[in-house]
Amino acid sequence: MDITITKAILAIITNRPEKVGNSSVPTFICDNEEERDRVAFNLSKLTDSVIHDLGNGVLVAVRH
Amino acid sequence: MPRTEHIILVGLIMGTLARFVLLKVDFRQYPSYPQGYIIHLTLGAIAAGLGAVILPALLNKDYTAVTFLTIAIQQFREVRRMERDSLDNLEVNELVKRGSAYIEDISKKFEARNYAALLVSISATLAIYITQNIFIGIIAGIIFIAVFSYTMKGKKLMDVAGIEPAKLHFKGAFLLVDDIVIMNIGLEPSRDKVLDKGVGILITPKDHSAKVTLTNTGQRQAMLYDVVSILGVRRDVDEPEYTPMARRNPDTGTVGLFLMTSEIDVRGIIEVVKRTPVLETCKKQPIDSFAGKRLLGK
Repeated sequence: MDITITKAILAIITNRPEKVGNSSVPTFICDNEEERDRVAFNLSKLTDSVIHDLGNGVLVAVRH
Repeated sequence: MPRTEHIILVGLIMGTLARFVLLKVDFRQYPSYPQGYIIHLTLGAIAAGLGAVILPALLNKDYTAVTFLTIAIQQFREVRRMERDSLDNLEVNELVKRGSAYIEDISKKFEARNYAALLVSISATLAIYITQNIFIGIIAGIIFIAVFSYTMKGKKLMDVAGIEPAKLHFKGAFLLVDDIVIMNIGLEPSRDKVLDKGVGILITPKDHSAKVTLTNTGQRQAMLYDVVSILGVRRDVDEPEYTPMARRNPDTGTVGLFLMTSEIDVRGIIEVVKRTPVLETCKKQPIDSFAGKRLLGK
Protein backbone atom coordinates (compact mmCIF):
# COMPACT_ATOMS: atom_id res chain seq x y z
CA MET A 1 0.00 0.00 0.00
CA ASP A 2 1.23 3.47 -0.92
CA ILE A 3 1.63 5.99 1.86
CA THR A 4 2.22 9.57 0.71
CA ILE A 5 2.29 12.93 2.41
CA THR A 6 -0.44 15.22 1.08
CA LYS A 7 -1.66 18.70 1.93
CA ALA A 8 1.75 19.59 3.29
CA ILE A 9 4.40 22.06 2.21
CA LEU A 10 7.25 19.94 0.82
CA ALA A 11 9.65 22.79 0.02
CA ILE A 12 10.02 26.56 0.09
CA ILE A 13 11.72 28.29 -2.82
CA THR A 14 12.55 31.99 -2.52
CA ASN A 15 14.90 34.75 -3.56
CA ARG A 16 13.97 36.73 -0.43
CA PRO A 17 15.28 34.61 2.47
CA GLU A 18 14.30 37.27 5.02
CA LYS A 19 10.64 36.43 4.34
CA VAL A 20 11.09 32.86 5.54
CA GLY A 21 11.61 32.25 9.22
CA ASN A 22 13.29 29.25 10.77
CA SER A 23 11.37 26.48 9.14
CA SER A 24 11.50 22.74 9.33
CA VAL A 25 10.71 22.56 5.61
CA PRO A 26 13.60 22.33 3.09
CA THR A 27 14.17 25.88 1.89
CA PHE A 28 15.91 26.68 -1.38
CA ILE A 29 17.36 30.16 -1.54
CA CYS A 30 17.91 31.50 -5.04
CA ASP A 31 19.68 34.56 -6.41
CA ASN A 32 16.89 35.88 -8.58
CA GLU A 33 13.33 35.21 -9.75
CA GLU A 34 14.46 33.38 -12.86
CA GLU A 35 16.47 30.89 -10.83
CA ARG A 36 13.66 30.62 -8.27
CA ASP A 37 11.13 29.69 -10.95
CA ARG A 38 13.48 27.18 -12.54
CA VAL A 39 14.23 25.49 -9.20
CA ALA A 40 10.53 25.50 -8.35
CA PHE A 41 9.64 23.89 -11.68
CA ASN A 42 12.26 21.17 -11.19
CA LEU A 43 11.07 20.49 -7.64
CA SER A 44 7.45 20.26 -8.74
CA LYS A 45 8.37 17.64 -11.33
CA LEU A 46 10.50 15.69 -8.85
CA THR A 47 7.94 15.64 -6.07
CA ASP A 48 4.67 15.62 -8.14
CA SER A 49 3.64 18.76 -6.31
CA VAL A 50 2.00 22.05 -7.26
CA ILE A 51 3.91 25.33 -6.93
CA HIS A 52 1.93 28.06 -5.19
CA ASP A 53 2.88 31.74 -5.07
CA LEU A 54 2.49 33.46 -1.70
CA GLY A 55 2.77 36.84 -3.41
CA ASN A 56 5.85 38.06 -1.55
CA GLY A 57 8.56 36.36 -3.57
CA VAL A 58 8.10 33.07 -1.77
CA LEU A 59 6.97 29.95 -3.65
CA VAL A 60 5.90 26.77 -1.88
CA ALA A 61 5.64 23.25 -3.27
CA VAL A 62 2.55 21.46 -1.98
CA ARG A 63 1.44 17.94 -2.77
CA HIS A 64 -2.34 17.66 -2.95
CA MET B 1 -54.11 -23.05 -19.30
CA PRO B 2 -50.57 -22.93 -20.75
CA ARG B 3 -48.11 -25.50 -19.45
CA THR B 4 -46.06 -24.47 -16.39
CA GLU B 5 -42.75 -24.93 -18.27
CA HIS B 6 -43.91 -22.47 -20.90
CA ILE B 7 -44.95 -19.93 -18.27
CA ILE B 8 -41.55 -20.19 -16.56
CA LEU B 9 -39.81 -19.89 -19.91
CA VAL B 10 -41.72 -16.72 -20.81
CA GLY B 11 -40.92 -15.21 -17.39
CA LEU B 12 -37.25 -16.10 -17.77
CA ILE B 13 -37.01 -14.64 -21.26
CA MET B 14 -38.85 -11.42 -20.39
CA GLY B 15 -36.72 -10.89 -17.24
CA THR B 16 -33.49 -11.49 -19.14
CA LEU B 17 -34.71 -9.17 -21.88
CA ALA B 18 -35.35 -6.50 -19.22
CA ARG B 19 -31.75 -6.81 -18.01
CA PHE B 20 -30.56 -6.62 -21.61
CA VAL B 21 -32.54 -3.45 -22.31
CA LEU B 22 -31.23 -1.88 -19.09
CA LEU B 23 -27.66 -2.76 -20.04
CA LYS B 24 -26.65 0.72 -21.07
CA VAL B 25 -24.03 0.96 -23.75
CA ASP B 26 -22.36 4.05 -22.41
CA PHE B 27 -18.65 4.33 -21.98
CA ARG B 28 -18.94 6.71 -19.05
CA GLN B 29 -20.25 3.81 -17.08
CA TYR B 30 -18.92 0.35 -16.64
CA PRO B 31 -19.52 -2.15 -18.23
CA SER B 32 -18.32 -1.38 -21.71
CA TYR B 33 -16.57 -4.65 -22.43
CA PRO B 34 -17.74 -8.12 -23.52
CA GLN B 35 -16.83 -9.58 -20.12
CA GLY B 36 -19.01 -7.03 -18.36
CA TYR B 37 -21.95 -7.82 -20.64
CA ILE B 38 -21.62 -11.55 -20.01
CA ILE B 39 -21.42 -11.10 -16.24
CA HIS B 40 -24.47 -8.85 -16.04
CA LEU B 41 -26.60 -10.75 -18.56
CA THR B 42 -25.92 -14.00 -16.70
CA LEU B 43 -26.75 -12.47 -13.33
CA GLY B 44 -29.85 -10.88 -14.88
CA ALA B 45 -30.92 -14.27 -16.30
CA ILE B 46 -30.52 -15.88 -12.86
CA ALA B 47 -32.61 -13.08 -11.31
CA ALA B 48 -35.25 -13.58 -14.01
CA GLY B 49 -35.20 -17.32 -13.37
CA LEU B 50 -35.88 -16.80 -9.67
CA GLY B 51 -38.76 -14.48 -10.52
CA ALA B 52 -40.21 -16.87 -13.11
CA VAL B 53 -40.43 -19.89 -10.78
CA ILE B 54 -41.85 -18.08 -7.75
CA LEU B 55 -45.53 -18.04 -8.86
CA PRO B 56 -45.69 -21.60 -10.24
CA ALA B 57 -44.07 -22.83 -7.00
CA LEU B 58 -46.52 -20.90 -4.77
CA LEU B 59 -49.53 -22.15 -6.77
CA ASN B 60 -48.18 -25.64 -6.32
CA LYS B 61 -48.55 -24.98 -2.54
CA ASP B 62 -44.77 -24.98 -2.23
CA TYR B 63 -44.74 -22.02 0.17
CA THR B 64 -41.08 -22.39 1.11
CA ALA B 65 -40.43 -21.00 -2.38
CA VAL B 66 -40.70 -17.56 -0.81
CA THR B 67 -37.23 -18.18 0.59
CA PHE B 68 -36.06 -18.00 -3.04
CA LEU B 69 -36.60 -14.29 -2.81
CA THR B 70 -34.19 -13.95 0.09
CA ILE B 71 -31.59 -15.75 -2.01
CA ALA B 72 -32.34 -13.29 -4.80
CA ILE B 73 -31.90 -10.30 -2.52
CA GLN B 74 -28.64 -11.74 -1.23
CA GLN B 75 -27.45 -12.17 -4.78
CA PHE B 76 -28.38 -8.61 -5.78
CA ARG B 77 -26.56 -7.20 -2.80
CA GLU B 78 -23.59 -9.24 -3.95
CA VAL B 79 -23.88 -7.60 -7.39
CA ARG B 80 -23.74 -4.19 -5.75
CA ARG B 81 -20.72 -5.14 -3.66
CA MET B 82 -18.99 -6.62 -6.70
CA GLU B 83 -19.51 -3.40 -8.68
CA ARG B 84 -18.36 -1.23 -5.83
CA ASP B 85 -15.23 -3.29 -5.24
CA SER B 86 -14.31 -3.46 -8.88
CA LEU B 87 -14.76 0.30 -9.44
CA ASP B 88 -12.89 1.05 -6.21
CA ASN B 89 -9.98 -1.04 -7.44
CA LEU B 90 -9.92 0.75 -10.79
CA GLU B 91 -9.96 4.14 -9.05
CA VAL B 92 -6.26 3.92 -8.15
CA ASN B 93 -5.23 4.21 -11.78
CA GLU B 94 -7.56 7.06 -12.73
CA LEU B 95 -5.97 10.49 -13.16
CA VAL B 96 -9.36 12.03 -12.46
CA LYS B 97 -11.28 9.93 -9.98
CA ARG B 98 -14.93 8.91 -10.16
CA GLY B 99 -15.29 9.54 -6.46
CA SER B 100 -17.08 7.31 -3.97
CA ALA B 101 -20.48 9.00 -4.53
CA TYR B 102 -20.44 8.14 -8.25
CA ILE B 103 -19.25 4.59 -7.55
CA GLU B 104 -22.04 4.10 -5.02
CA ASP B 105 -24.56 5.47 -7.49
CA ILE B 106 -23.40 3.15 -10.29
CA SER B 107 -23.38 0.07 -8.05
CA LYS B 108 -26.85 0.93 -6.74
CA LYS B 109 -28.09 1.14 -10.33
CA PHE B 110 -26.67 -2.29 -11.09
CA GLU B 111 -28.45 -3.74 -8.06
CA ALA B 112 -31.72 -2.04 -9.02
CA ARG B 113 -31.53 -3.39 -12.59
CA ASN B 114 -31.50 -6.92 -11.22
CA TYR B 115 -34.61 -6.16 -9.15
CA ALA B 116 -36.19 -4.88 -12.36
CA ALA B 117 -35.37 -8.18 -14.12
CA LEU B 118 -36.94 -10.09 -11.20
CA LEU B 119 -40.08 -7.95 -11.12
CA VAL B 120 -40.57 -8.12 -14.90
CA SER B 121 -40.42 -11.92 -14.86
CA ILE B 122 -42.85 -12.08 -11.90
CA SER B 123 -45.30 -9.71 -13.62
CA ALA B 124 -45.09 -11.63 -16.93
CA THR B 125 -45.88 -14.94 -15.20
CA LEU B 126 -48.62 -13.31 -13.12
CA ALA B 127 -50.25 -11.91 -16.28
CA ILE B 128 -50.23 -15.39 -17.84
CA TYR B 129 -51.84 -16.93 -14.75
CA ILE B 130 -54.55 -14.26 -14.67
CA THR B 131 -55.40 -14.26 -18.37
CA GLN B 132 -54.40 -17.85 -19.25
CA ASN B 133 -52.70 -16.40 -22.31
CA ILE B 134 -48.98 -16.49 -23.05
CA PHE B 135 -49.12 -13.52 -25.43
CA ILE B 136 -50.68 -11.28 -22.79
CA GLY B 137 -47.78 -12.29 -20.53
CA ILE B 138 -45.27 -11.22 -23.17
CA ILE B 139 -47.08 -7.90 -23.66
CA ALA B 140 -47.21 -7.31 -19.90
CA GLY B 141 -43.46 -8.02 -19.75
CA ILE B 142 -42.75 -5.50 -22.52
CA ILE B 143 -44.90 -2.85 -20.80
CA PHE B 144 -43.04 -3.36 -17.51
CA ILE B 145 -39.66 -3.19 -19.29
CA ALA B 146 -40.71 0.14 -20.83
CA VAL B 147 -41.93 1.45 -17.46
CA PHE B 148 -38.71 0.43 -15.69
CA SER B 149 -36.38 1.81 -18.34
CA TYR B 150 -38.29 5.12 -18.24
CA THR B 151 -38.52 5.48 -14.46
CA MET B 152 -34.95 4.37 -13.78
CA LYS B 153 -33.45 7.04 -16.03
CA GLY B 154 -33.11 9.61 -13.27
CA LYS B 155 -32.44 13.32 -13.58
CA LYS B 156 -29.68 14.97 -15.57
CA LEU B 157 -27.76 18.01 -14.40
CA MET B 158 -29.44 20.22 -17.01
CA ASP B 159 -32.79 19.56 -15.27
CA VAL B 160 -31.59 21.24 -12.08
CA ALA B 161 -28.99 23.79 -13.22
CA GLY B 162 -28.01 26.14 -16.01
CA ILE B 163 -24.65 25.44 -17.66
CA GLU B 164 -22.69 28.05 -19.61
CA PRO B 165 -19.11 28.84 -20.63
CA ALA B 166 -17.26 31.29 -18.36
CA LYS B 167 -14.15 33.42 -18.50
CA LEU B 168 -10.95 31.85 -17.20
CA HIS B 169 -8.52 34.46 -15.87
CA PHE B 170 -5.85 35.15 -13.28
CA LYS B 171 -5.82 37.61 -10.42
CA GLY B 172 -2.20 37.53 -9.30
CA ALA B 173 -1.42 33.86 -8.90
CA PHE B 174 -5.05 32.90 -8.37
CA LEU B 175 -6.94 31.20 -11.16
CA LEU B 176 -10.57 32.28 -11.36
CA VAL B 177 -13.59 31.04 -13.29
CA ASP B 178 -15.74 34.14 -13.53
CA ASP B 179 -15.42 35.30 -9.87
CA ILE B 180 -14.85 31.88 -8.28
CA VAL B 181 -11.33 31.17 -7.05
CA ILE B 182 -10.15 27.76 -8.27
CA MET B 183 -6.52 27.55 -7.11
CA ASN B 184 -3.17 29.25 -6.80
CA ILE B 185 -0.65 28.53 -9.55
CA GLY B 186 2.84 29.82 -8.82
CA LEU B 187 4.71 29.37 -12.08
CA GLU B 188 4.30 31.71 -15.05
CA PRO B 189 4.62 29.00 -17.79
CA SER B 190 1.93 26.92 -16.05
CA ARG B 191 -0.39 29.96 -15.92
CA ASP B 192 0.14 30.62 -19.62
CA LYS B 193 -0.66 27.00 -20.43
CA VAL B 194 -3.79 27.10 -18.28
CA LEU B 195 -5.03 30.22 -20.08
CA ASP B 196 -4.16 28.72 -23.46
CA LYS B 197 -5.64 25.24 -23.03
CA GLY B 198 -8.04 25.55 -20.11
CA VAL B 199 -11.82 25.88 -20.24
CA GLY B 200 -14.07 27.49 -17.63
CA ILE B 201 -17.69 26.46 -17.10
CA LEU B 202 -20.24 28.03 -14.79
CA ILE B 203 -23.07 25.99 -13.28
CA THR B 204 -25.94 27.98 -11.85
CA PRO B 205 -28.45 26.04 -9.72
CA LYS B 206 -32.09 26.58 -10.69
CA ASP B 207 -33.51 26.35 -7.17
CA HIS B 208 -32.60 25.87 -3.53
CA SER B 209 -32.62 22.06 -3.80
CA ALA B 210 -30.18 22.17 -6.71
CA LYS B 211 -27.98 24.52 -4.73
CA VAL B 212 -27.82 22.05 -1.85
CA THR B 213 -27.16 19.16 -4.27
CA LEU B 214 -24.24 21.05 -5.82
CA THR B 215 -22.56 21.53 -2.44
CA ASN B 216 -21.81 17.82 -2.49
CA THR B 217 -18.25 17.28 -3.70
CA GLY B 218 -19.21 13.84 -5.02
CA GLN B 219 -21.66 15.40 -7.48
CA ARG B 220 -19.01 17.84 -8.66
CA GLN B 221 -16.44 15.07 -9.05
CA ALA B 222 -18.95 13.13 -11.18
CA MET B 223 -19.16 16.04 -13.66
CA LEU B 224 -15.39 16.27 -13.91
CA TYR B 225 -15.10 12.52 -14.37
CA ASP B 226 -17.73 12.44 -17.12
CA VAL B 227 -16.08 15.27 -19.06
CA VAL B 228 -12.62 13.74 -18.76
CA SER B 229 -13.78 10.25 -19.68
CA ILE B 230 -15.22 11.56 -22.93
CA LEU B 231 -12.88 14.40 -23.93
CA GLY B 232 -9.72 13.05 -22.28
CA VAL B 233 -7.50 14.64 -19.66
CA ARG B 234 -4.50 16.77 -20.60
CA ARG B 235 -2.40 16.32 -17.49
CA ASP B 236 0.00 13.51 -16.74
CA VAL B 237 0.94 12.08 -13.35
CA ASP B 238 3.58 14.76 -12.69
CA GLU B 239 1.35 17.74 -13.58
CA PRO B 240 -1.08 18.04 -10.68
CA GLU B 241 -1.68 21.74 -11.42
CA TYR B 242 -3.65 20.80 -14.55
CA THR B 243 -6.11 18.63 -12.61
CA PRO B 244 -9.72 19.56 -13.42
CA MET B 245 -11.41 21.20 -10.44
CA ALA B 246 -14.81 22.37 -9.30
CA ARG B 247 -15.18 25.11 -6.72
CA ARG B 248 -18.28 26.83 -5.38
CA ASN B 249 -19.13 30.42 -4.69
CA PRO B 250 -20.51 30.14 -1.14
CA ASP B 251 -22.61 33.31 -1.51
CA THR B 252 -24.54 32.37 -4.64
CA GLY B 253 -24.16 28.57 -4.80
CA THR B 254 -22.78 28.83 -8.33
CA VAL B 255 -20.15 26.23 -9.18
CA GLY B 256 -17.16 27.00 -11.39
CA LEU B 257 -15.46 24.18 -13.29
CA PHE B 258 -11.90 24.40 -14.51
CA LEU B 259 -11.04 21.78 -17.12
CA MET B 260 -8.03 20.97 -19.24
CA THR B 261 -9.07 18.30 -21.69
CA SER B 262 -7.18 16.68 -24.58
CA GLU B 263 -9.82 17.90 -27.01
CA ILE B 264 -10.62 21.56 -26.42
CA ASP B 265 -14.27 21.73 -27.36
CA VAL B 266 -16.29 24.05 -25.13
CA ARG B 267 -19.64 23.04 -26.63
CA GLY B 268 -18.75 19.37 -26.25
CA ILE B 269 -17.80 19.88 -22.61
CA ILE B 270 -21.08 21.70 -21.93
CA GLU B 271 -23.07 18.89 -23.55
CA VAL B 272 -21.32 16.32 -21.33
CA VAL B 273 -21.85 18.36 -18.15
CA LYS B 274 -25.53 18.81 -19.04
CA ARG B 275 -25.94 15.04 -19.31
CA THR B 276 -24.14 14.19 -16.07
CA PRO B 277 -26.56 12.24 -13.88
CA VAL B 278 -27.74 13.89 -10.68
CA LEU B 279 -26.42 11.26 -8.29
CA GLU B 280 -29.01 9.60 -6.11
CA THR B 281 -26.50 9.59 -3.28
CA CYS B 282 -25.99 13.37 -3.55
CA LYS B 283 -29.46 14.52 -4.53
CA LYS B 284 -31.12 16.62 -1.85
CA GLN B 285 -34.72 17.85 -1.83
CA PRO B 286 -34.87 20.29 1.08
CA ILE B 287 -37.68 22.39 -0.47
CA ASP B 288 -39.99 19.37 -0.34
CA SER B 289 -39.63 19.15 3.43
CA PHE B 290 -41.80 20.99 5.95
CA ALA B 291 -38.90 23.07 7.24
CA GLY B 292 -37.73 23.79 3.69
CA LYS B 293 -41.16 25.09 2.68
CA ARG B 294 -41.29 27.31 5.76
CA LEU B 295 -37.81 28.57 4.98
CA LEU B 296 -38.75 29.63 1.47
CA GLY B 297 -42.11 31.06 2.60
CA LYS B 298 -44.26 28.62 0.60
